[in-house]
Formats: sequence, C-alpha cells, structure tokens
Amino acid sequence: MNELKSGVRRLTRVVPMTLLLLAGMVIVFSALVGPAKYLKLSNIMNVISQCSSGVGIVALASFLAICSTGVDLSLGGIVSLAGMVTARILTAETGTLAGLRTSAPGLLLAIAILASLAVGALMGSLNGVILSRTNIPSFIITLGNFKICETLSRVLAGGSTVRISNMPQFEFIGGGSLMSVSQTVQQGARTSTRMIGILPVSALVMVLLYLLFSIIMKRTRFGTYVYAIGGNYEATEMSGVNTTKTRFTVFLLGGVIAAVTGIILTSRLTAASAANGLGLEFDGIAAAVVGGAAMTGGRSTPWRTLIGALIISVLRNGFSMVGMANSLQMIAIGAVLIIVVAVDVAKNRRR
Amino acid sequence: MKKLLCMLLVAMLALACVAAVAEDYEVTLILKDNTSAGWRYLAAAAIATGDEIGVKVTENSPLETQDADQQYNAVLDAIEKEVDAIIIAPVDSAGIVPAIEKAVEAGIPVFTTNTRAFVNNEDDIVTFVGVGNEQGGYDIAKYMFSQFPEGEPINLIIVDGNRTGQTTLDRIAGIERAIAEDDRVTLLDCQEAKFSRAQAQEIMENFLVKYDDIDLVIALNDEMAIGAYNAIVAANRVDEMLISGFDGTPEGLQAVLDGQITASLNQDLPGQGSEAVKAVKTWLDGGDVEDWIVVGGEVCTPENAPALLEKLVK
Amino acid sequence: MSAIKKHLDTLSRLAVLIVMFVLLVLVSPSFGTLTNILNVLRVSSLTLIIATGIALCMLVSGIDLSPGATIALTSILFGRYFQMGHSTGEMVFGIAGILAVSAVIGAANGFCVAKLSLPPFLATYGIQQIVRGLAYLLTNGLVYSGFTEQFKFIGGGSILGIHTPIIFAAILLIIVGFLLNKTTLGRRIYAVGSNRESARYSGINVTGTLMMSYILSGLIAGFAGIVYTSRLNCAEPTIGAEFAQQAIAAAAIGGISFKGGHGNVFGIIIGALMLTLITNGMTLLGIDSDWQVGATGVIIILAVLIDRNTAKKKV
Repeated sequence: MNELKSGVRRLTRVVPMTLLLLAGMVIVFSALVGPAKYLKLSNIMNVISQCSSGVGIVALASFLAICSTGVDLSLGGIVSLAGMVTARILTAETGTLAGLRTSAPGLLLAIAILASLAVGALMGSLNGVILSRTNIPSFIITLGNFKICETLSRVLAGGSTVRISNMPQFEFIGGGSLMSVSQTVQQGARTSTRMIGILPVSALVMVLLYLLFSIIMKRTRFGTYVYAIGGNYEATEMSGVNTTKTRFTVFLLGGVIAAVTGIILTSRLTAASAANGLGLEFDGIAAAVVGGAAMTGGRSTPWRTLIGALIISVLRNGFSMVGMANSLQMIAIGAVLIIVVAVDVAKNRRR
Repeated sequence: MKKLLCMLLVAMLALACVAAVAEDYEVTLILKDNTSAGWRYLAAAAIATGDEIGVKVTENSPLETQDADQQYNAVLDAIEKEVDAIIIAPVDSAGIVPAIEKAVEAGIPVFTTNTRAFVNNEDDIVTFVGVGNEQGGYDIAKYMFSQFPEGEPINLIIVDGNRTGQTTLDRIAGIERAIAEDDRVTLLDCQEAKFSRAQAQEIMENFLVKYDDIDLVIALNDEMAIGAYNAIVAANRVDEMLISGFDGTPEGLQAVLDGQITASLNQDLPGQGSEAVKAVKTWLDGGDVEDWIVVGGEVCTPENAPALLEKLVK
Repeated sequence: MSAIKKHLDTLSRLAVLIVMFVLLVLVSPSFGTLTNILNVLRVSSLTLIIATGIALCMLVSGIDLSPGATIALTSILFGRYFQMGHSTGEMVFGIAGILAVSAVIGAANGFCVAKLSLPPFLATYGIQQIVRGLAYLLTNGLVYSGFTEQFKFIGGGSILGIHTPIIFAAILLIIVGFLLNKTTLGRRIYAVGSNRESARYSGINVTGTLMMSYILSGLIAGFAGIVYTSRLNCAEPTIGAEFAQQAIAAAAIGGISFKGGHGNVFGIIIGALMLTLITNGMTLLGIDSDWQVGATGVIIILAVLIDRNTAKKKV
C-alpha cells in the first residue's frame, strides 16, 4: 500500500494530477459508453470543439485574473455582448456596412471582428481601470460590469435573436475545419459516410491563444509581474513594478479573450442571442481552479488551465453520452471542484 | 485523493448501469430546459409513449438556463451517440440550424416539437409537432378581448416570457396582431418574467402599484398567470381584471376551473411529446409523416377544461 | 460629535437613500403612496434576510454563494416531503426539517472553509452547485403547490396592514444586530474578520467562529426559504438563482467590507432598500426591464467606488 502511495506520488511529480484525473475520466466514460463509440475520432473532435466554443478560451481569461489574485465575473457578459456586436455589424441593414456585405464581405468580417474585440477590450478595461487603482474586491466590480454588459447586449439585440445567414466565411470560424477525413458510420442497417473536421478553426484559435499566453507568461516581463503580484503584492510593488499597469492589462486582456469566445459562439450558432455565454464566467473559474490555480494567486500555467477546461468539457460530454440526468452533472462538477481544491490546499499545507 | 477518485468512479459506474437498457430505437429528446413544469409534462409523455411502442427516449435538455449553445452541444453529443433520431424544441430557432444541419449530414432525422427551427432547407426537418405560437398568441388575445363589452376600452398588461427565446417572440407577435385589429386595446406595459411564477408575481406587484386601471393581464404561460393571480389576490383587486395563461398545463387548467384565470391556450404539451415519438417510430419504420402534425391549439375555457384535464391526468 | 463621526459612513448612505426616494416621489407621485412603500419594504425584505446571512460570512472575510440554492432545495424538500399532512404539528415539523437541512448546508460550507481552509468563494460555489443539483434531482422539474392557509400566512399574510415578511426581516435584523453588538460571538466575528492572526493569538477559537458564521448564514437562508415558499405558495427548483448575487450586492452597497470586520446591520438595510428602490422606481417610471439589470450594475459599481472604506488606493 505504501509502495503504491509513493508510486502515485512519484507519478504525480512527473505528470500533473489533473492530467491523471482527465485520463481517468476518459477511461471511465469509454467503459460506460463503449470505447468504439466514445473514443472515435468524431467524438474527440466534438469534445474539443465544444471546449473551444465554450469554457476553453474563457478559462484562459479566468486564469489571468485569478493568477493576479482576482476573479472576473464579467466574462460571460462580455462573451454575450461581443457576440452580439459581431452579429449586429454583419447584419447591418443600412449605411456603408450594408453595402460592404455584397461588395467586400471579407472587409465587413474584419470590421465586425475588430469591433467585437474592441468592445471586449473596452469592457475589460472598465474592470481594469477600477481594479488597478483601488482595493475594491474584483468580485463586486466585475459583477456590476457583468450586468452592464448583459443589458447592453439585450438592448443591441432589440428583443430578438440576430440571425446571420449567407456568410460562409463567418460560419467557418466557429463551425469550419481546415482539414477533414471521412468516416464511415454503421447505424443499424444504415451505413453513412461523414466528413469529420480534424483541425477545427475554433480549436486552432484556442490552442494558438494558449501557446501565445504560455510564452507571454514565461518569457515576458508582463508574465513575470503577473506571477509576482499573485505571489506577494506588497513586495512586488516595493520592488518598483508598475502593479497598476499590470493589473489593468490583465483585465483588458481578459475582455479581449472573452470577445474571441463571443465571436466563435455567434459563428457556431450563426445567430446571436443576449443569453449566449452567460454563466461561462463560473465555468471558467472552475476550469482554472481545477487546473491548479489558487485563489491566492501566483500559481498554475495556461496549459494546466487548458487541462482544467478539458476536464469540464469531458465531464459534460460524457454525462450526456451516457444519458445521465444533467443535475448529476452539476453535482459532479461541484464535487470535483471541492475535492481538487481540498487536495491542493492539503498538499500545500504539508509542504 | 486516490480513494476519493475510486469512490467517484464507482459511483459513476453504478449510476450508468441503471441507465443502460437497450430498446428498438434510440431517440434523444432535447427540450428548452430541465426545470419548467411544462417541459416535464412533455418529456414524461414522450418517455411513456416510447416505452409503449419500443422507442427508447433519453432526454438531454439544458439544465436551468434556456441556453442555445447547450442545445447545440446536446445535438452533437446525440450524433456521436449514433441515436436513430433527434426530437428538439429549439430555444433559438435560428441558432439551432447549424446543429440540425450537422445531424442531417450524419444521417440522423430531426423532428421539431413545440417551436419551429428556421432551417434553410425545409427537408432538413421531418416534421413539426405543435401549435403555431403566433396563431396561439393571436387566438388567446382575441378570445380575451371578446370577454369585454363592445366600445369599452381595455387596458392591457402583458407578462412576457423570455425575450431571448423564439416562443416568446412568436406569441408576442400574435398578441400584437390581435391588438392592432382591436382599437379598444391600450397596451399599458410589458415585462419579462422568464416563464417563472415567482418572477411574474413580483412584476405584477409592481404593476399593481403603478396602474390603477388594469382590465386584462395576458401572461405567456400558465405559471406566470398563476403568479400574477397571486399578486392580484394579495392586493385585493381580483374583481378588477381578467387574466389569461398559455400552455394548458394541469395547474393552468385547474386555475381556469377555479375561476382564477379566465382562459389558457391548450398546447397539449404531453400530446406534443407522444405525437413526436409516434412520428419518429412511423418514420423509422419507413412510413410517411405529415410536414406539420397539429396538436392542441384550442382556447381552454371553464367549459372544455374538465375534459382536457381528464385527458392530461390520465 | 464623535458619535456622528463614528456613524458618518452609515449616515451618508442614509442620506443618499433619502435623496433617491425624494427624487422618485417627485418624478412619480404614485411612488410615495403607502401601498408602494409597503411594497418596496416587502420586496426588499427577502433580499434583506439573505443579505444578513451573507453579511455574517463577509464579516469574517468570507462569502456565501449558496443561499439561493439552499432556498431552492429547502423549498422543494418542504413541498415534496415535509408537508405530508395539513395539521399544525406537521407544518412545525416541516419547518424544523427545513431549518435542520439548511444548517447542515451551512455546516458543510463552514467545514470546507474553516477546517479544510478552502477559499470561501470556491467552497460555497461548489456546495451551491451540489445543493442545486440535488434540488433538480428531487423535483424532476415539477412544481409543488397547494400549501395550507396557515403556512401561506407566514409569507403572504399581514399583521395590522404590515406584510409578514417585513415583520420577519425586522425581527431577524434585531436578533442579528443584538448578536453582533452585544454578545461574545459578535465580538469574535468582528475580531476574526479584522485580523485572523491576532484573533488567534488573543485566544479566540477562530475555527469555531468561522463555523458559526457559515451555519448561521445557512440557517438564515433556510428561514428565507420558508418565507419565500410560503409567499409564492409553490416550490420550484429554479427559484433563487440570483438571490445570492442580489444579496451580496446589497451588502456591498451597504458598506459591509469584503475584507471583513467592518459593517453593521443598518448598512444592510440601506443597501437592500437602495437596490429595491432602483428596480421598483424604474418599473414605475416605465423603463424597460432590460435596462434595470444594467442600472443595478452601475449602482453597485458606483456605490463601492464612493465608499471611503474600500475605495482607497491600494496599500
């Protein structure tokens, strides 16, 4: 028993605990659903694209906020607002924008995306301006900002869903794939051949963002400062680091990252509704924390956060494939969150 | 940690074993949420009918929010599960289209119930089972207006559902069409109560303070109508106004019988569920199915409520 | 003079509240009617009750995100199991059952925070997920209704024209006010909240105090569940989704510090009233419900920004 214990301990030193948890979940679900059905390529791609259009990218923003000892509850609202801005611009009925739809759809798309990112940056910087200059808890400010974003999104929606049609380039972002393979599926007596996208654009965007932030966090001064603020705020400030600027940037970037999710989500559904994305802020926090971030700041990495996000996505998809009640899924996520954090806290205390 | 993990896995295994029983056809049913009473009646009827005719119906609806993306994910999961058919009541008639196209691409027939999907190609949907929500809104509004004497002004309050969803938009459009045809009607106010009894009650409390002269309250479902009624009772103003609901749920019909609300519109939600499952069976067996299977649609009044209620409870 | 200085904070909040009220009456005369004032008080009483519980956690520099879920679960339990018969005895048994369950939920929060040292935000979020999941599991989406007249009186009746929830909120505030100001537990709560380490050195049982705060918050949420279920005359699992946020906002506007150790019951009252005034006022002015959410957001941000205690530049 003791040997096993130390074996596990040695294993977790090499492989993060969360990765083991993820692997364990995949094994269990494939046992329950049947490996042939669960582990087939199309389902793997399914989980990945579900992750990248939902919690996956938002989790990165949550990680940044938590790493610098805050939380960002406005992310879900920003996702909704940014998605709505994209849709509104793409479907503008009058003025220059409407003209562009036929004459230069690529340009229109670029404008829509840039505007959406700008709105994300703006709402993020609203958090940043206040939180970098005061010691008000981020919880309450970002909660207020969430409500503002949700309202703006509803007002922009004008009491309906904004539907985007005939914009294949835009649909490509959330639903397209750079490369596809064909897969034959046996369904009872029927056999059908389906094209499975193996490089979904949204997943590529997600991986690129994580790669980018992995480099930023490791190699740039900004990254070092974020970790330093999380480690010890007073000491960091006394050592001459511009903490105001760093904290501002964290929330600004958070807004931009959330806007990316908004664009992907709108593209995936080819429609924007003010309800889209609301609630992702808590999923993001759960993912970042399951990935190893501590509320006290300064811990975890982007890649670990991605594992956390995948755990949440695998859990959702698995429960749904097995056909279990969604309320059990809710309980499971709550339980995983508490257990992971409890183990983490206990481990640190031992150290 | 290890022990906890093991326990978690065992628990999950045990739960899964309960769920895994094979039947002839497997169908995923995706409704708008997992919480409102109306959807529960639909799901229960669908599952019961499925049991009778050899169709295994598994529900996978978004949990608490009416979330278009969760419905999208549910469709994708159903495709991966390789089910034989998907029945869906879209939260967002436009937002569900890409998911439906993916299902069709994968060779899985899609059936809509309660709410239509705005597909680009009509052949993507086998059939729609339900009433027209726009027509329903129009009919209930017309009926309620007819309760008032000729030439007398009607001050109207609408307790709205959820403006991010299609059902609400359609019903409101129908009510607005009826308002436009009737010059007695003045729309005083309209606020959303998210189809919840609790929220409707609070909104109605505010309206009762704000307006002294309300004649008619149209609520977009029965739950909200009952919530509004509770508020009106608390304010001792029951005699001043009429209330209408929508859906024809057992609680709604009972409220009509008790005289708490004047009328509701029978959607026959259980009927939607069982008819949809029957249509799936017919289609998968190689039979033909109508493009639109009309279920319900009549205004529920104290006269027909006993019969409707008996049908539901059975 | 020093007394005024001591309460300057609360007084300035009160002044803002009064100015808001006067402005609303000037714009819309129906606002000043006794019916509406009672209405505002009744609507805010629920936020007030929940905020009181959360404030106890905030005072020990924690937070409680679970009250909404606790209300949903207890309400479902009452509707489904506890309300088996219609006698007074069974109703009392049911209410006792609700309070016991909510105390257990509070204790679970307390255990995670005090014994396992989990961050309160995460611990109570995780617990609220589990609790609400259970609520869904138990109901399968159905609504339970049709309670006895006796039970309905608890949240829906009135005594001398004053709605019962207002009376309950007032009683609760008096009890909690007494507890915070006049008892050892109250002094301990403030001490643990202001500085946990020095509280520990001075011999205060920190773990016990934390546990008590969360158990009390759970109990108060259960109490709110009884009042709310009775007022609605129905039990549904979705209720209370935004209660925790609303109550936290009320506490924050009322000057309960997130850092702990600072704030009083008067602040909570002012905060809850202010939030209700905004939504009620906007409804009376005919402003679309879409904008109300956003206005609440703006008020939350402004209120904490102008708060002298929290808004100072970082140390």
